[in-house]
Formats: sequence, structure tokens, C-alpha cells
Amino acid sequence: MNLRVGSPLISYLIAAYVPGQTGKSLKEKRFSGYGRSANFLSGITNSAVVVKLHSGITYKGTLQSIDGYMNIVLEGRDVQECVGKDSKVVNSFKNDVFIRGNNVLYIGID
Amino acid sequence: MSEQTETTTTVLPLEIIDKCIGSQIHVIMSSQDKEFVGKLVGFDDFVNMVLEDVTEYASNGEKVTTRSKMLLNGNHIAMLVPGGAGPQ
Repeated sequence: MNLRVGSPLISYLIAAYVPGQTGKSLKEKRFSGYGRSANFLSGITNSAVVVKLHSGITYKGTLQSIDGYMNIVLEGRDVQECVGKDSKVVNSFKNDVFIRGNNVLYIGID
Repeated sequence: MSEQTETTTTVLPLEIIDKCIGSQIHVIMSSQDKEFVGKLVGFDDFVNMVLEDVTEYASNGEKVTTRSKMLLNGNHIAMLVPGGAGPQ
């Protein structure tokens, strides 16, 4: 698996988080913030996250996986699709949800 | 990298952002419909950013949500204001 695709920062974060992935990307710190961000993925993987798309739709679920393109997989069981300021739930999914990275505005802790 | 900065007098744009790490930053999206204010933790060449204690604002300056930690996609970022307190 080639982890060094897309965002250098996310590739670094993956390398810092995934056991055994201590290759090249851990050494390539272009900016000083890489090290400070290193615990970001360990902080959000397998915990409740919220993914907001550019369209304004929000997906709430458990983060299973992310890559350098910000492609995201939310774990099946209870993924909720929310819209609007009051986060009204309009849809929920029982299976895993794949979100293509180009749509993602941000991913954060719920 | 460090040798290069010593021999040149120009300051690269991203070096300015690098100096903001650990302090407050105001992010304005290019569609002008969203703004974020939070503590900058890290970023990369695409200006994807890790932010902490973020407040999201709508275009009218109204607070939308707060997030303790987020990874913001750099694709639609228009402007960064170091130390900016937000739209109010």
C-alpha cells in the first residue's frame, strides 16, 4: 500500500499512527507542525467523528479509515446524515460509508 | 531547508503560516460562506490544516458550531489571518 499519496500531512499522520509504518514519510517534516499533529489520528480513529462536506451535509459516525486524499470510511452500524443548523437527521446507514475525499470540507471530533 | 532560508532574504508565504503554529488563526473559505477560527496545530503544502478549539462561522458572522479538533481540507481556503479573532 502506498501511503505517500495526496496530502503530505495526512500521509505523515497515518505513518505516525499505523504500527509498522515508520518509513520515509515520518522523516519528511516540511513544516514544524507535523510533529505537533502526530497524535491527531490516534485521537479520532475509532471514536465519534463528524465529517462535513462542501455541500453542507454532515455525516456523523465512527472513523474507520482515512487516506491522503481525505477519502474517509465511516464504520457501519450507525452513520447519520444530518443537514441544516439544527443537525436534523435525514438518513442513517447500517453499512460502512465511503466518502470521496474531494467532497470533504473537514473531519473533526463530534 | 534551513540552509536555503539562511541564504535568501525572501520569506516564503508558508513560512509565515509556519510561524503561526500554536497560535490563533482565522481561516476564510473561498466561497465566502464559511469561516473558521482556532488554534493552528499543523499544516502542509496544500494548506490542509489540523486545528484545535475551532469555532465555525457562517457568512453573516453567526456562530455555527465548535469543534475540539479538526482536519480542515485546504482545497477551498482563500485567506488566512494570523491571530485573527473572527468575523465580529
